[in-house]
Amino acid sequence: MTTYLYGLILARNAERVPPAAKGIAGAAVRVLHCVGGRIAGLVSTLDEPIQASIDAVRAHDRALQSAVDHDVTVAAVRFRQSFSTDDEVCRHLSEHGGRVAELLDHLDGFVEMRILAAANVQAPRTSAPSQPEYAAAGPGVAYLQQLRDKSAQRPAYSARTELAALIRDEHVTSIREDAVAVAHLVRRSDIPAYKTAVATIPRFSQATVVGPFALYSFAEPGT
Amino acid sequence: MSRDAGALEEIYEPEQLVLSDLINRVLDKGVVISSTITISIADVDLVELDLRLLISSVVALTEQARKREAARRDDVSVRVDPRP
Repeated sequence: MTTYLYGLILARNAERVPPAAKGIAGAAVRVLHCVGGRIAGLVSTLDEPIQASIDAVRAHDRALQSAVDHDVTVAAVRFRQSFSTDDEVCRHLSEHGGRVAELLDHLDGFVEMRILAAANVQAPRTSAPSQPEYAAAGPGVAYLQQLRDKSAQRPAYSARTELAALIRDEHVTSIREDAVAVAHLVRRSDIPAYKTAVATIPRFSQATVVGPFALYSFAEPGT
Repeated sequence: MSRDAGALEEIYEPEQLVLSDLINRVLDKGVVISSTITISIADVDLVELDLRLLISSVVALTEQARKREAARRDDVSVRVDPRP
């Protein structure tokens, strides 16, 4: 048995997390409070190690979404982080959770919105490591790192100017060879105005706006 | 967002984008707490295997959706009344 961690919330917001939420393999999602902690974990107890699958990815996201849909700001934890016990989770949070506590204190009431758009805008050239360097590390690492390199080459997709009054931060990511996600940190109460504003931006006329989500792009420095 | 109903690619593009975005968000974003994360960049073999599983699933889902749409179109064409 393991304790699987989906995300982190401010402990003071825990009562808003719905009690009947389900996560990976249908396991109940519960709030894990650690003694003296400012943050709490959204966790499930799993009988077996999880396998990487679309179902598991969806379940991870749904577990977080259940809290977001009840007005809880959640810092998403990266997929597939399991611990031997609840106490082990708390130990890690006490050692590494300080920065997340500061982040959630600062961003309580915010959500992540994303604009999904075709990558057909010519972006300025920037230098990037060649493919053979990544290929030596294995195809999986190469795939992720290539997407990250492409993200660094796409300032043309920024909407900071048009959305300055509605966003706290922006992060542009390549999600496919031919598509980008422009992630924005938005106050929950500004979501309707945000969607209206995005609809007026010509280069996003064919884009898909998704959210609100847990804080994925803004939860960890460097992602 | 405008769509051409006759183009399968445009019909499924939003769904495909949303799925790609989901995979990107959950797999490559978020807080890293555990030092033994099983899908970390340093864990080469697991990343390779896991991404192949996920990519195969995305391809399979897309193909299923296309077949469903093709079947639906065949059904609609049979039911259309040719009389003026």
